[in-house]
Amino acid sequence: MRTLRLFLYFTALVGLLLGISDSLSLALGGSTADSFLANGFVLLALGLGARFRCVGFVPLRASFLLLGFAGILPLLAGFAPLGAAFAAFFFLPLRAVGACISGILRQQPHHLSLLALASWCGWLLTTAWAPGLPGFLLLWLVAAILQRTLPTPEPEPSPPLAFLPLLPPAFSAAGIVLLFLALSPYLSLFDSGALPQDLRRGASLGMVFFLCWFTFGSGFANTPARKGIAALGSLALGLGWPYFVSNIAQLSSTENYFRWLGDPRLHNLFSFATRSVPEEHPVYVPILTCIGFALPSALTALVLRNAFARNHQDWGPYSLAPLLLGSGVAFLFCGFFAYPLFPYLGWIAGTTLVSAAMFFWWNLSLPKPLRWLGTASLLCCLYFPLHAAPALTFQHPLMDAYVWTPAPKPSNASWPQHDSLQTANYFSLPRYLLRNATPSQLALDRTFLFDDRNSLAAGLEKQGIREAEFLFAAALARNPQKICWVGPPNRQALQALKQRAPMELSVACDPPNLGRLALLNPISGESFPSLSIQPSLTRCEGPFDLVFMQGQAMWEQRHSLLRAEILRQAFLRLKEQGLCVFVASPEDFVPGILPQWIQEFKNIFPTTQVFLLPLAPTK
Amino acid sequence: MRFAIVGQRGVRNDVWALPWSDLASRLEELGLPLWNQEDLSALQLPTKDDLGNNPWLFRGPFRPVNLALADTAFRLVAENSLSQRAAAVCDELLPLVLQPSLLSFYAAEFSAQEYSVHDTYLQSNPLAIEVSEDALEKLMELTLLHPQAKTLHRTWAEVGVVLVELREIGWIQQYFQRLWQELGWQDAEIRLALAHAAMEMLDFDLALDHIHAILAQYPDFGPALELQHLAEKQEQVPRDAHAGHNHGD
Repeated sequence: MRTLRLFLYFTALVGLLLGISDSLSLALGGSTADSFLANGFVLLALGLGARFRCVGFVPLRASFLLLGFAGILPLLAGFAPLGAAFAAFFFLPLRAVGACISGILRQQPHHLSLLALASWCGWLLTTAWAPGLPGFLLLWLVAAILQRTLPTPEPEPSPPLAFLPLLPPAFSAAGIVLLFLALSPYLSLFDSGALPQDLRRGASLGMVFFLCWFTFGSGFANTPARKGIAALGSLALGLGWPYFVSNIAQLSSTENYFRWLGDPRLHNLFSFATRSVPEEHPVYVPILTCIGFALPSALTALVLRNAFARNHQDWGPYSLAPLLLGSGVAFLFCGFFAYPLFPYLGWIAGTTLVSAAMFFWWNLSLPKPLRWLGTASLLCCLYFPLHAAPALTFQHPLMDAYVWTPAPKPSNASWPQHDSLQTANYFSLPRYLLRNATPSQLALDRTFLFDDRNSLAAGLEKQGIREAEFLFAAALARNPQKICWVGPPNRQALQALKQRAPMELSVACDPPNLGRLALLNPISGESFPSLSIQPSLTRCEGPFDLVFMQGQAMWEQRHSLLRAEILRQAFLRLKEQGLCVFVASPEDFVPGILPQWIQEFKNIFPTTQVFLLPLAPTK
Repeated sequence: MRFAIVGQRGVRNDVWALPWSDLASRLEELGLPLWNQEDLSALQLPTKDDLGNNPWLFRGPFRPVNLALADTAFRLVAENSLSQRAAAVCDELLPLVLQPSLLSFYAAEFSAQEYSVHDTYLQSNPLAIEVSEDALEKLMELTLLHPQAKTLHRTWAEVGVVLVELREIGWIQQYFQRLWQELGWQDAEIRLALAHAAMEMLDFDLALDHIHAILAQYPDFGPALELQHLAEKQEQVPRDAHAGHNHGD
């Protein structure tokens, strides 16, 4: 019963922490980099708290009361500095929570697996349920009630700080976070990236993770070979990252894709009517996730399980703290340096993990020459992740009415050297794909912008619609001089306006390289000039005459513009008579969404009007 | 069809701005003629003040809207789920709109789509689009309110192409005759639809009257020339096409 109570407490607590991180991210602007900063902040506070043996000199119950107020952070969206300042108040309460978790684990070290399992369940619960602010408050309440039923950890004097034992788990945690982010563009390469697909992906990755955690991980964790296994696991992850990327690139070829998904045994097992497992089938995402990511997930479980102390004396009292601190620092690093860092992230992750292996080895109870020899060998291994060059061309094996291939980079002299037609970034793989065509269409522009699996560019038939709605918005804004486009911009529509009126363009697009690619002409290499491309509207400098938003692939959380915080940010960045225009088709919504979205406009803007544009595809 | 939700930072005291002439020309080319306030007002959906009661849908952590929109994700075989969803969304908004609008036409139009994977309004092939009398009634109702709105002229022209393809002669006569005679519309597309209907009824003289009226206005109007050629020979339009469209491409 006590174990069940503790499991529920951990689950609710992790849900609460995820909610705090999400709230903080929204307050900072809502971009991917902002979410890294928020995650880093929360993990750092928890990690610093986990160093303490009790509650980190902060009253635990009062801390819990304060944490619930994190739900109001999104109201500060648009005032990023104020949001960050307000978030600082949550640092001490979060630290107290870290100390509490650490105290519980110190009393019962076997509850580590319970914490890991509950963390996974907490993520699954909040993803599958999407309960909004009321759910966040409910999780807060449940965690607070359950915490009262748990025995308070006894205060103990803090032990002296030993630096060296902190390094292996801290480096391995940081490396794992960096590796996860380096692989993140390929996570939803073959599916829509909608929340149910993310849920299936998370569930299947978690199953692989815990399978390894409870078998090999736990098996070695109670043996003297623990540190050696952790070192080997870190080394395998560090050296293997180019292989993980290449594996996904290979899977994306039509031949490999259909070899896996069209396997007759799968046909017999699941009885689907198509040539291969269809995208909508519940096992589609788990199969591809396991093929692409099972190995890194299993190795991660092996490293993390063995990075923890077997007893109090082994790593000292800091078993949880370095893991949290390492991952927190990694998130903050990616948050601060964000998008320009991504091309080097694989190398950084590889060297961090090899360094972790080196530190694990150094901490082994071995004869000194052997320790030196092993460490020196591992130092030499750093050469490999630094010089790895994984294959970076990803095919598009999914077929609809057409066959798609990566668009070739034109070989004309005017093409900018640094520009590519495929640029990966956090959780995003923007690229131009070429659509097959009948001979009569071969002369037409058949390149389309995709982000992962989702097409963002309008087809030839719908380009007129995209242009018309943007020109309509520009007309209502009375010849706008300064425009901000939120989301991936439409180059042709912008050119149509620029031919008729001078304008200055800013783009808010996450990640910015997606916006950059959208502004690029894939045939001539010319780019539409813009003042700046920022990951969120918060970072765009107004005031604007027109803030334009076009609903595209809104089923993917990253592309969804349906956030009240964005409207508030737009309001703050408009000139006195400036307009914010949002356009979407009725089939982009489901019942229950559109009236409330119009209401959000009415709540924020003094004047709101809905127009219906009777635009038909070009015949 | 697209919704445009427009929010203005300041309070609006006057009417909405119209596009300047260069922009208006381009918009007309793209199928959105906006030359005067009536054109624009035919597109407006004045809504009630209170539209929703779920303030947490779009705000805060774990936004429920992200899960709700998962159903809109791309599907390889979407069948007519797009038009069904569009119809449901329009139907939901309809009671919240204060006066007759194009929304009621589109809601009825989306609801009329019944069949296969190709049977959505997103199809550019008019043969794949269903039309209902209810939708036409709604469009006529709005047309009587804004008889000179060019946006409605354009919508009727689009509807005309579909009705001709579907050989819905009764509806062409019922609605297009009214547009021509009662409202005095002389659009080439309206007269062309009436010419088609006349030819279907083997009334080649009437068809030629309509065609000559079009050609007097636009001497090079291809579909009219093609139809004239058939009408003079007293031949009907081939069953799988109508003048001006070649589905063989």
